[in-house]
Amino acid sequence: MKKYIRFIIVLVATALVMGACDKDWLDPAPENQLVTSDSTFADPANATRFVNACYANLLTWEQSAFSWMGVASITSDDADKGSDPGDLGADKDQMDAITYTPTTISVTEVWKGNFQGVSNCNQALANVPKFDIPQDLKNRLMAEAKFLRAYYYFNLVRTYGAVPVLDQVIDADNPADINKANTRVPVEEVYAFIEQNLNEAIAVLPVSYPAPELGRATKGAAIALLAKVSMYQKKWQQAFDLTNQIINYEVGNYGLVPDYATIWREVGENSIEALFEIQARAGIPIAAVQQYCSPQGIRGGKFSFVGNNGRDTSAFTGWGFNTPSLDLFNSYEPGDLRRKATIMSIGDTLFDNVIIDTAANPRYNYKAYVSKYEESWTGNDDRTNKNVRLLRMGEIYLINAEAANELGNTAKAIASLNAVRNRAGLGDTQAAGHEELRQAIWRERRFELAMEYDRFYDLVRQGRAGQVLRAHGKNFVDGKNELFPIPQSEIYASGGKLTQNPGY
Amino acid sequence: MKSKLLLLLMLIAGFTSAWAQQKTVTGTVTDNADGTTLPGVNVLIQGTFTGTVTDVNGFYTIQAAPDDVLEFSFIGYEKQEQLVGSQSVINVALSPVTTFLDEVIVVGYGQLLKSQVVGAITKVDGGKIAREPVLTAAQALQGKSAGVQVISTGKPGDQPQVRVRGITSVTADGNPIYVVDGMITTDITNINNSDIQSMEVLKDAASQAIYGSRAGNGVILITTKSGKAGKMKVNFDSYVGFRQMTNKVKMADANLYANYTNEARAYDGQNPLFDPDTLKYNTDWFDEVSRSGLMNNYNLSISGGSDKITYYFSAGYFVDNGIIEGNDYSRYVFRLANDFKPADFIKLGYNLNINVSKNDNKPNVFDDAYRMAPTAPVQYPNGDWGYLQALSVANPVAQLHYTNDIFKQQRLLGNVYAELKPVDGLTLRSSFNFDRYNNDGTNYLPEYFIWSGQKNDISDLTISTGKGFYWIFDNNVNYTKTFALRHQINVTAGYSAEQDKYSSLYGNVKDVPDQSNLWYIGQGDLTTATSGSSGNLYTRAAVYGRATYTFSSRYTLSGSLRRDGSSNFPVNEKWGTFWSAGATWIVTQESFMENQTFFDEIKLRGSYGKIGQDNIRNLGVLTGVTILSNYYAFGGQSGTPQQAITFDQIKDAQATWEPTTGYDIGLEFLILNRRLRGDIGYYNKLSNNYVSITLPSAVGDADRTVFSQAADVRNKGVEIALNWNDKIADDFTYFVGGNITFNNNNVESVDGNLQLRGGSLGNGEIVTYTVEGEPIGSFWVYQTEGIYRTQEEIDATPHFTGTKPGDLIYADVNGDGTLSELDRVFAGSYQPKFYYGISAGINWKQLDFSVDCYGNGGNKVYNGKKGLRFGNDNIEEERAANRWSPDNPNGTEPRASNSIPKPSTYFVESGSFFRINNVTLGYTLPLTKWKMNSLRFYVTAQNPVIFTNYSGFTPELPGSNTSSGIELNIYPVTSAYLFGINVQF
Repeated sequence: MKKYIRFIIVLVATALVMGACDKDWLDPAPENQLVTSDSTFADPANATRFVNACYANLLTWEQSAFSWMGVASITSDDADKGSDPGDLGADKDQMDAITYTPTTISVTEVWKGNFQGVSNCNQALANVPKFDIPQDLKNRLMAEAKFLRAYYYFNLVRTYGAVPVLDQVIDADNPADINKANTRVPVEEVYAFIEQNLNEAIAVLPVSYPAPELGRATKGAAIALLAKVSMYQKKWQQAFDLTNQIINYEVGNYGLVPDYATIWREVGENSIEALFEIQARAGIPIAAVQQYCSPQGIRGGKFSFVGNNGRDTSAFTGWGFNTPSLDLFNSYEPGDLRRKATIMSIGDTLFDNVIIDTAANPRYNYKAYVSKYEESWTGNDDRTNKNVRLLRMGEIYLINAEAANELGNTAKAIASLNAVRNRAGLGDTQAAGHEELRQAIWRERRFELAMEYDRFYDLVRQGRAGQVLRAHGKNFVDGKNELFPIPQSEIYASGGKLTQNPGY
Repeated sequence: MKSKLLLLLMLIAGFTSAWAQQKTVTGTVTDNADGTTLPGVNVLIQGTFTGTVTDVNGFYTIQAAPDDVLEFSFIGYEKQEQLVGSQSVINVALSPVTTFLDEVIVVGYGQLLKSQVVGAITKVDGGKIAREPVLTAAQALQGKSAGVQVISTGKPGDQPQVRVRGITSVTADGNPIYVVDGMITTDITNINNSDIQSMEVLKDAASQAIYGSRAGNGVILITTKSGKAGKMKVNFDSYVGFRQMTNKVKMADANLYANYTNEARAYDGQNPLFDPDTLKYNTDWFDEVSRSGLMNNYNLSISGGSDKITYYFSAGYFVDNGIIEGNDYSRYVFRLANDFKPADFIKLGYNLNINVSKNDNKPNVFDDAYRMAPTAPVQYPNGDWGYLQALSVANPVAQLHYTNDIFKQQRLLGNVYAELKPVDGLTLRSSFNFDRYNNDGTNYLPEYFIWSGQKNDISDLTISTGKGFYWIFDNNVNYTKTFALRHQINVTAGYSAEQDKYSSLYGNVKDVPDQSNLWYIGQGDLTTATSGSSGNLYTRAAVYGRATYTFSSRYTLSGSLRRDGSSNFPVNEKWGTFWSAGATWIVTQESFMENQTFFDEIKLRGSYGKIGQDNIRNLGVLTGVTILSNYYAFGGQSGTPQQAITFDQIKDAQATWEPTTGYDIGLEFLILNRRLRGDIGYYNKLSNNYVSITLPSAVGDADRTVFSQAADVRNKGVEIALNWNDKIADDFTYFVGGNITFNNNNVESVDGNLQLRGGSLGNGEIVTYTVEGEPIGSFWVYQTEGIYRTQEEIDATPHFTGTKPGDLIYADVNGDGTLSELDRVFAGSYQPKFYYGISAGINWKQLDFSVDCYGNGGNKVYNGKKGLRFGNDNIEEERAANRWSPDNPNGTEPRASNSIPKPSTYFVESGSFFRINNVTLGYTLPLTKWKMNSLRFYVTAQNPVIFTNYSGFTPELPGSNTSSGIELNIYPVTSAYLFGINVQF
């Protein structure tokens, strides 16, 4: 027996050791990651999720936060850098002085955010048809994606001018696609692409959605965006017709809310004034814009409460950037209710009975204020409940007025202009004649849309950016600063194929 | 079926060993040189595990058959073999040798004699490692091996960065893998240095190829101690001492800072912040955040065994309180190792290393201490924390006070194995190696308000756990045989399968009370609770083999081959083949060398091979659907946010192993009466690397990068190691040794339009650029030529807008009249031109003294923190005191300024240094009394002194391959002073 023990032990050992070899050993299913497989396209709910990604890009830091603020707001005469003098916010001093360069962070992030949005829309348009869902739903989902793609391109063409136009998903291994991604298309063609997208969307989008889908793009939203795009291209008849459709209740029950001050507060979310808002909700899961409000929050503030006799109160605070300028503050007409609703100054009592005792800067953007007492507050400064109003009736009326004026329809122009003025507590306009009315409408736009990230682009399209901003002390160079530079990192990534804007 | 039958037959054939009659054999083993008896000599029946050990009188008894050959072996002596034959008494005299070419070297999956090793391997004895009072064996390795550059870190509980023969990869981790008793790991903070028997550094492809797939950056083998048959040995080690900052940079005091800041603000048209005459406080922030950290270590090991069972047990407790207040690290390590020989052809064993560690983390506040204003107090008399509103820097003492970040880890590393010797010369080994760890962390931030720039509105608790299980199942066969007395072959073949799985889970809730017994999720506001989990799984499979043929103990040829598959890579790209070939020639064995006495032993070696790396993670899944982290809140306040998905990750469909191919030649020698040993080598290797290519944003890849094999890096160099051992008298021995490595790192080709810029300073500026013809991560900055002193000087030369007198002059290198990126120059790199280690020691009667040094030469560092300004920060005293100003027009430093300077050669400094790593003086008590074998007391200073021209905190600046050598996050080098005791029974 002893002889064989050796034998047996060795045999058993050898057998154990020649263990089974698993053919799929090197192909484990990846942990925590959905893979492209039938499972993704088998679930019809995923079709909607692809389109949700087009909206979700609006919540990202690059798209809607500090950099966008730098490019669209701090550059204008409505806002200053803010915060403490030594605190540059990486590059906000450059945005304020208009000394930015192709390597400036804000310029780079705005490009990235918007193109990521375009890509998400292209992915949605490519993948929604693969699902087994009713054709109506498919059409509607694709129309939403087109609306958002048009919005992202509107931002890109206003900011950078000629940009690559991507109407489908880019295949990184296909040189023709890469070439497309590196070829700048003239401004007129970009606008034509935007209009085409919007027209296709308008044909399909519904007038309204059931309550759980509130926030999706409506026909009214697409018409509003097309009207604004038309205004930028000086297509006055088109702008006039489109805005009339909205004002005349043809595409939904839109109108001016009576109290201007409530527009940007939580009570004013998704009101009849709103055509399209970036929906935000504080809490879990994360569904709010990353740091829209906190960079504009009151810096170094000390507060008290009405009736508390000077005892220390806490209120929403932040980094203190994008402060309303003294020029803006002083330019309002006497009696204009919008000043108090747009700008909060030291010593003011806010709508929730908080008094600002001291702060690092004299004025802050009231439209970015969140009330801890009277609005939804989870303690997270960085993801607040505040919706970002992108298109609203106040602007629609003013587009209508400007288009009417340019077409010679003075009566309609004055009527629309007055609708906005009266809501703001002002009397009818005294302007008469084409030129005076134009200037009055342009002035009205400034106060109606103050601190809503519209001023810089407005000045550029009106052709008077250089004159106004240089008077304000900024280094605006005509022929150069109407457009922002193409980010240097993008030029490198393209291998030098993307060309730079003149002057940079 | 047929193959199994064959195997059976082979086994049966092997068993026809003689089962003839056994008898008792006895004898005495003596030392040939002086005739003294030798206890503890291993007497083994060749080809089996049966053996015994000579007793205290050198006497042994063993049962053996006449055909058996007895092997007598003992460290420090030449092995001898004796055929039993008809003898019953066999006395043996062993000759002592300084083991050199007969030294046993552990190589991948086996052992070879030094004379047979064709690759470049440096062996470091465990005793030298244990002597350094440091946490990891990697840190103790600094300066002890040519070709190994160790970049230390001051943080308790951290492992240093190690580079073996230069950096090969651009994007992947540059650290080598550690193989601890067969288990592959990258983290050796759980190994007690006293448990290490030896470390072997495998430096070239020939030695690494058998580990093929993970070996791209080098392999360090660690063999731990195991029990030996014989009397039980007890060893106790302990040391205690403290650690402190070696040197600190002098910052401006309150008065100088106030004047500097007011001046800087005046240039920008701002009001002065301070009145220098009425300053109340002058805080030295470095003093406030640092302390002398206590260090102590206790170690006990017990080992021994009989001829059937051996055992090794050790327990250790290590405490390292870092120099930042509150930053504590402690670790318990237990080690158990046993092996059993139930029969003479079978051996079973296991190794288990149990590690429990706790890390009380504190943020690295040295950055804030560097920038914080000295005019602000730590705390005002009323208890409020100090701050300066115009300066966006957190009060570092407050930061430490409010941080509660505890990390605990329990880790089990070990293996279970079985070895069979069915036939003479054949060993079958099967082992299951595993590494299992559990982490848990608690991070609590209380509610506090210092000012609106440093506050926390609502308390925040995060609890996280992680666990991982990495196992390797390895089976191999080893066959050694000598034919016709002159031909020796040694063949190893095997296969292994691995799986590495880890997962983590966290929960976060807000509004939890500030009491450590209440730090649980349930104690917070559950409406704010979030949680998440993630995990990853990698698998590998490999087949490997090595064959070594030695002719006449003089010529050796060796080759190895390994085929590896990894789940990391896409379909069709999963497998890679790695190989090597080499030869050695023992010149002193030749007949023409017989009559010379100068060379005692000489070995020439040469090899060539290819190895790979799969450190680029997660290329296996080509395109996965991404679930966006943002949901979208349709439906207003009463709606439910909806999930969003898209495709935003592009992967390179051809991604596969990063190969390195290279050759190595060397000369190893022992001369001058066996007193001087040396090793001179030359190596040259080329790696084809992955780099992340930046894609245009329009492509829609969320992180804008895709990995593609697009850069080649070559490392070539010379290593020289020399060691001299001698004695002046019988009780006076000394040694001097050193090694130096010259390494040239060069990027050979970079594909097309890759912009390998790196070294971001965090303010939009980058300082490194990796291009052909320069080392990886070379500094690429503007050239400065002094400072402007007058406005006329400024107007006369190209300058940036806003330049004022007192600013640095930047050279217009390309002469085009403007300053742009084209004027940047290459200003050196962090890769040293050479690095070296020196050690020396004396043993005189009962005293022992040793010194270990390490140094780098020819490298540059970038003093990044000096140029990082966010406005109104503190400034280094030298720069502030010597600044140019209208009152001080001869100043040598630039003017007071709050603006961010461009990256320039002003910040590039020499990174060369020479440091005394360890000075130890010990005294061993004579052994007459008590039962101890030895009792030794010693004092040690670790890093007492560093000689460097660098003005910053430390010239050792670990970082990623393209961003090394930039001092941004300061962690000063620390010195430790310790007293220790060592007892052996």
